[in-house]
Amino acid sequence: METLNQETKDRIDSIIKTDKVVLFMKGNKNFPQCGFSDTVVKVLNFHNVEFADYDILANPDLRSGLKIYSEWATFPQLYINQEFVGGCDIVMEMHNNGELKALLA
Amino acid sequence: MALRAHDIEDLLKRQLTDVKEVEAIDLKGGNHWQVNITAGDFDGLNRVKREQLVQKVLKDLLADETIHALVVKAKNTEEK
Repeated sequence: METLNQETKDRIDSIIKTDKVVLFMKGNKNFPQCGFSDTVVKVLNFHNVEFADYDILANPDLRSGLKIYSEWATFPQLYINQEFVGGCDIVMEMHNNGELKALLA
Repeated sequence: MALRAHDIEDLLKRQLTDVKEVEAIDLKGGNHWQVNITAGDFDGLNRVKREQLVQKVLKDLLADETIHALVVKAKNTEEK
């Protein structure tokens, strides 16, 4: 089981502290490189919320570190208020049942 | 060796306890999968924790991208 080196852990800690809403995704908000990442970008835009996007395709150590840090093997990964919210299917479910709106308020 | 639904179902049945029902559905191309599962292990866990549990069981298949995308519908034994 790979371990998460301290430097990457500190980097992720600081990233999710910097912005309220953080999306680790494939590609970036203007050029998503995967359907699931694109879907979450669209949902966040629908709620017209400010969010920081990080392209894990361009940051391999961030990508491998996040799999351990979030205990989540796939992307996108959404963080709100330094809490891991989930991937595309959970974000969609929360969008549909109003939980996401409440969380973003 | 292409991944088949019962490969996933067997893995989950072996590694989780009190699995009432489990169904793996190939959404697309043999690497986009949905898992519908009802198990006692999920009692008291929120959605993220439940999916993390399923991902732990499938971690090798996820690590080498045999499973590229995963949707999990996990219920505990009381939920319909």
